[in-house]
Amino acid sequence: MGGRRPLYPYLYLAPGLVAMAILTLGPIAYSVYIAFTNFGTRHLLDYRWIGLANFERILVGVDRANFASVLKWTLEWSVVTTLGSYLVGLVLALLLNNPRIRERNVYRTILIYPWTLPATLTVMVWAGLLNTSFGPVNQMLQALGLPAVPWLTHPTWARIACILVQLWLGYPFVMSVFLGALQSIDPALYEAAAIDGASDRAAFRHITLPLLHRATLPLLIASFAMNFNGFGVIYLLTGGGPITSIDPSAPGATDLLGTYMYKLAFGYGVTKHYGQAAATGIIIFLFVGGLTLLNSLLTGAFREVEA
Amino acid sequence: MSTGSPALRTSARRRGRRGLIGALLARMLLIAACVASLFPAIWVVAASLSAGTSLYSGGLIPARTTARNYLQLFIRGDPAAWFARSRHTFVPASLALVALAVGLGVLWRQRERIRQARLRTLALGVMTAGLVIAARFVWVCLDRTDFLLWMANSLIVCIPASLLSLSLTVTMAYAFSRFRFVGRRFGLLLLILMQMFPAIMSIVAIFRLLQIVGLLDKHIGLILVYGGSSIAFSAWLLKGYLDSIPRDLEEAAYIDGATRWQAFTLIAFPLATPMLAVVFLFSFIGFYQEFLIASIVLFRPELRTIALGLRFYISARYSENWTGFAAASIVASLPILVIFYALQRYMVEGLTKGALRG
Repeated sequence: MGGRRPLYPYLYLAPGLVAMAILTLGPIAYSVYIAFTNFGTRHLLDYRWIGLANFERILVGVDRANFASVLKWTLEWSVVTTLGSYLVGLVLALLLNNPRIRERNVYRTILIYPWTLPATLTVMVWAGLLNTSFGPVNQMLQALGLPAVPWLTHPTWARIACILVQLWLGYPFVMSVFLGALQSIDPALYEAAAIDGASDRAAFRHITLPLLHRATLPLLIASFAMNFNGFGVIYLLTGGGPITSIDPSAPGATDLLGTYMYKLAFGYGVTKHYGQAAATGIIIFLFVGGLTLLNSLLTGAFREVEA
Repeated sequence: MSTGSPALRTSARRRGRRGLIGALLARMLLIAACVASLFPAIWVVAASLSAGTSLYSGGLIPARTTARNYLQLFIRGDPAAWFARSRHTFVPASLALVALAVGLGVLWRQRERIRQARLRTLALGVMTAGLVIAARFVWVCLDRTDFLLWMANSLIVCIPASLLSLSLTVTMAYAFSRFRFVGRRFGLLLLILMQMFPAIMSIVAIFRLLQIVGLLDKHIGLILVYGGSSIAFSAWLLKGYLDSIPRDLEEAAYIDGATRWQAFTLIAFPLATPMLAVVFLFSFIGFYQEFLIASIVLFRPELRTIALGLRFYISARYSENWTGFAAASIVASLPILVIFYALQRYMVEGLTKGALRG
């Protein structure tokens, strides 16, 4: 292209970049600003710059305990749902990959369906199914002679219910990815292993698992980040509840950082802390952004860019 | 599976019986998994057909089945009276709708057969116009139920938002795929980061900004927020696809004297059309099921989208509206389910690439 730097690429980029600057980066920059103000229902019009006070409040001040407990549960939730859906997805993919099962496409088509429905609607359906007094799940448990489980009203059970629903929503995608990875493994590798006298188990351990691992590790980190950002499932299933304290600003038992932030800004409480909510959003972003960068470095997503 | 080599055949015979038992076990596990994952669907279908209204009346096998829950989504009051009233328009209009839809599908598949481009365009145009008119007649016959209002609102929001996001994305994805320029690396990094930062995290600022520019509680405000929120993901997806199209054709066009813009519009763009449709539907599905942003941007009940409407409907009176909710959620989910199964391959590929690399 010679010495002059061409301008035309930026013309192609302009519509998308301008729109992103206005519609995405703008709000982000503005929420960074809000995070440093006392904007809220107490200071709706006269809000002003208060420096790091919101961050101090969250990280070392009065809301430290609330934030810490929400962060702890968010981490637990992300780890359990990510690893859980990986395990379920992997096992199902391995089962489906058995060529002796002629009708495996039928199973695959059925097993993938939770992913094909609008998640918002299915989560609302789950909220009904898990209803403690009338829900079909408890009706069934009782028919089997088991006690009714307070799925959405007891702190621990509510957490379990949220995780189960997220697993139900999340495994089909992982399963599909694993199936794709399994099918892309060269059969010649297994032939070679068989010629060398390797057992099935050895072939599985030394061929299948390492190749699957390499294909899906980055996805593991990405879906951890997604679950960390998780919002809809909890909000629609339990609304973050059940409440664990009489203090209305305290988070509920299943509140993730996302729903906690949402409650600070739009919750039922009388006072709304937009500034503090924005600060929480930024902390979440720093965490997820860091994780994403790490992921990109690990997978070398940019190596191709240099070429 | 290849069973060509002798070594593999020997080993297959050796583990033949164990393999059979394994397959049997695997089958049992798979059937158990299918039953477990189907559990909610079975209950919802049963509830939607059951004659009662409450959670409790929806047993696994309803005592009395009825289509009432489905009919009331489209019709107010007594279905028989409605049918007597509107059958002169409704029956021919819906038959025409189905016939035209099938005809359009066939025509689209066979479009290569019609040699003359003008004739082809004319035929497709006439069919589409007929389809719109027939749909209009069906729509007139139906009552303005809440469900139809919500569905219409969803389409009013989601189609423009998806088109907006797609039109902003196309040239951007092309530039990232084909050109080398200063800041490209940074741009790609920005796209990845933006994907990981859902719009909901800056919801406070979005709310405030929409309030300032006066777009709060309007569909257009939601369309803008949605359209912006999916640019990064769509661009990344489309770039990945463009990367997989060989450049030879464009380079040949350059040699024949084509400009860059011509190479893009006349060669790359047509080749990417199927993927453009996929990206459009991807965004559409995402917006269609979005709840939280919509719940903050829209207040007036008559503006509610399907996710929003159903949420208010069910959370207002959980036990009383259960069977109606079940029918509504099935009807609202079916189009998405069909799109999804049709596009499954792209979904997996796209999302994997989206998370990994272009």
